[in-house]
Amino acid sequence: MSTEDKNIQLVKYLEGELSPEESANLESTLKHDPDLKKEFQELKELFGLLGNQEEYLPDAALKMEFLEILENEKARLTETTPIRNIQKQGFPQWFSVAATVSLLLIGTFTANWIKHSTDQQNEIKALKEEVSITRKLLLLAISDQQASTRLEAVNSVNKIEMDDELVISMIRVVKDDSNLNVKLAALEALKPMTSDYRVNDAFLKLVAERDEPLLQIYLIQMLSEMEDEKSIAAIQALLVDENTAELVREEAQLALFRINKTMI
Amino acid sequence: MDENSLMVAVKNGDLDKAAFIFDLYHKRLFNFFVRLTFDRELSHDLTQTVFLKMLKYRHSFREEMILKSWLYQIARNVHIDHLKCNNIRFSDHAATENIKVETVKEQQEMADKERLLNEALARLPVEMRELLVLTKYQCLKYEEIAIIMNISVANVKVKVHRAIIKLKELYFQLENH
Repeated sequence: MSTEDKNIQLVKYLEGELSPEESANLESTLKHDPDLKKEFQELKELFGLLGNQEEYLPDAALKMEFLEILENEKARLTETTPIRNIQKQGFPQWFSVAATVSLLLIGTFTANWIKHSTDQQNEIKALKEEVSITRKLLLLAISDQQASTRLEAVNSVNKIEMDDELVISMIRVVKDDSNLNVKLAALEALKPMTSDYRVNDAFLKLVAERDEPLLQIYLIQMLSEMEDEKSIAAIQALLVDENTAELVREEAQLALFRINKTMI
Repeated sequence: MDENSLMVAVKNGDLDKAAFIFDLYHKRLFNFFVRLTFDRELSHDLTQTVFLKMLKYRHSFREEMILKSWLYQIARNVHIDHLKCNNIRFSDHAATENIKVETVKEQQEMADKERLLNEALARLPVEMRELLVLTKYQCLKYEEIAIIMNISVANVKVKVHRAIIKLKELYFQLENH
């Protein structure tokens, strides 16, 4: 048997590809062949290293870019399918032709109207479409499996105007996200929205939940800035609750002290 | 929904399902390219290209196909196209000076042995390196690799065994240097 063949036998042995009889023969040979034994030890060391290395993590931008590509592809499909959809539904040919002609006529009138519109209207339309796509991308990224992607998405929410869908998503993140940093970032994003009754209600309920003291502390700080009756009552309730964590209790006391000072 | 059904849904126009496929495969494919090219930035681009092609050629996915094999076939072709564009032959080994600074920095933080292993991998001919990455890092079975590479399972085994022996030679040459 050549050296290469012997080495291949060793590899097969380590891969578990030899029969019990072949394995026994090889083990017996290894006892009496020091050169082969050395080859075996080296291969065994290599096998121990192979596949044991850490996984490389791609950066979060990879997913954001892909989601943008996906949205563009969806938008492109929407532009090119109206006539095909009509035909697919089994409308008679004459209807499809009439629909095409109508669309062309409407298109022509619209084109003339747009031509006479100002440049500003076109720019606003383009901007609105861009913001709409950005919102959709953010909403998708907020539900990502990776905390780093969710965090980046939540931090980006501050850069656009929050609509109802985003407000509700941010509240959900504060309540349900598994990562504390993402929750805190969502709280920060909701700070300008404390006059919204949904945000207010969510804060009042969450401040009483004892699972995450750091979250409670942030909520106390935000509620204390509002200085309304319900916020003050929620903070006072924490002092009365004997299960409140010590750090949270201290923050609540400080907050009430600050509120009292400003009310004097 | 299993992953094949996800791809069938994408083929039939439900493009949102492509995001789930991305979540399932992007890390694996990224690591596949990093192990082949030792270049994070390039691997980012190549990974993105795979998913672009997945979308572009979604109509060519047939229900009897296996998504994993199909994606890795695309990945291999993307890698081969990259090599062709850069005038690198498939049988060439990566010159170790081509390992990008960022990857070397990561390697400096690893144990010496793992660094040597990566250097030995880089010196393997691309085809051998690809096989070892698929079987030892991506943990694909021989049968799956056979489909991806369009060769017999027996042929895959022979090539993998030879690649391991060659890697061992290179690794211990470097260690004893």
